Amino acid sequence: MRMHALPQNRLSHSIQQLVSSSDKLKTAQYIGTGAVQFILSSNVGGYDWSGVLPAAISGGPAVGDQALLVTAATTTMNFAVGDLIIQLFVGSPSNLYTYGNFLADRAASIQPFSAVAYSLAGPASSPNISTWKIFVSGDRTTTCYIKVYLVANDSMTLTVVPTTTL
Amino acid sequence: MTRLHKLPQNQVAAHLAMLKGNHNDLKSGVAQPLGSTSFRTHLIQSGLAYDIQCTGVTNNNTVVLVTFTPTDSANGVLGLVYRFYMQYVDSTGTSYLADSRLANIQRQVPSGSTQEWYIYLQGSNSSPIAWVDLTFYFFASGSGTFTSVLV
Repeated sequence: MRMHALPQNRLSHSIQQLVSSSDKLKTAQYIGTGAVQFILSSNVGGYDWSGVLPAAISGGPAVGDQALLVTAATTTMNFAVGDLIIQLFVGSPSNLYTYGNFLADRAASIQPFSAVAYSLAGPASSPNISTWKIFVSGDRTTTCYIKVYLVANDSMTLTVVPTTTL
Repeated sequence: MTRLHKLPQNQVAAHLAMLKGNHNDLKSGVAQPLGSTSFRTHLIQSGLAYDIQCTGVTNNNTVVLVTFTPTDSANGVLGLVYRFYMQYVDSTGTSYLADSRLANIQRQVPSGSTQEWYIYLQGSNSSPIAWVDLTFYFFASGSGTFTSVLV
């Protein structure tokens, strides 16, 4: 006799199968129609780092530079795929400085600013962590602000800390 | 015939049975199932000799907006572009393949499912570059199309 087919047992049997199915789904990532959803992550607040650039190793007395280490960790997925977006603000946290500003300042013989990011290998034992280094350079007398965003396969926790290692 | 599943005391079981069916669909590949450490890559490129040609490039007169639109954006922000490459060739003989580490390639914060980059070109005001050909490559988590326009 199929005991689970009895009306009084059907509910618990269905729930049991559902739990078993859910357990198997937990070990896979299922996504829709051939594409992975991306999630934009950023920290609360207008910027992640600010400061006047310290003296550069090279480039003359007017030039400063600062390296920043960005570490991003997935919230749930066990591997991280993403791309970093950096915004540089100069003078105030709302004064976005683009590469167009760089070209204009340089043409006007004003010490320009720039910010670039390099993807690092990340820790071998933690594929859910991605790291980047940002290099900010420019005039040494004006406060710079860096804001980072990450587009990735998961919601990410982001930290941005200054590092002395260029 | 008595519709037993419509009896109040049986409806919970009926709903659970439907839920179980959904889960079975997910497991069997109605959605794309992935292994826990794998990720399907799409390389999107036009195949053209170049995607946009810019002429008369001086120091700061040429900005190109590149926009990637995922094929399937009905269910949210799909098609993550996690690597972007640009092939640069100009009339002076300069050519290089660049990624977003170059300062003049500035990825924008996305709003919605499209993803955008600004490319700032630089030449000489006294001797403008006659032409610059740009070709774009996207490594993405889904298929998509792209446009590039002067802004």
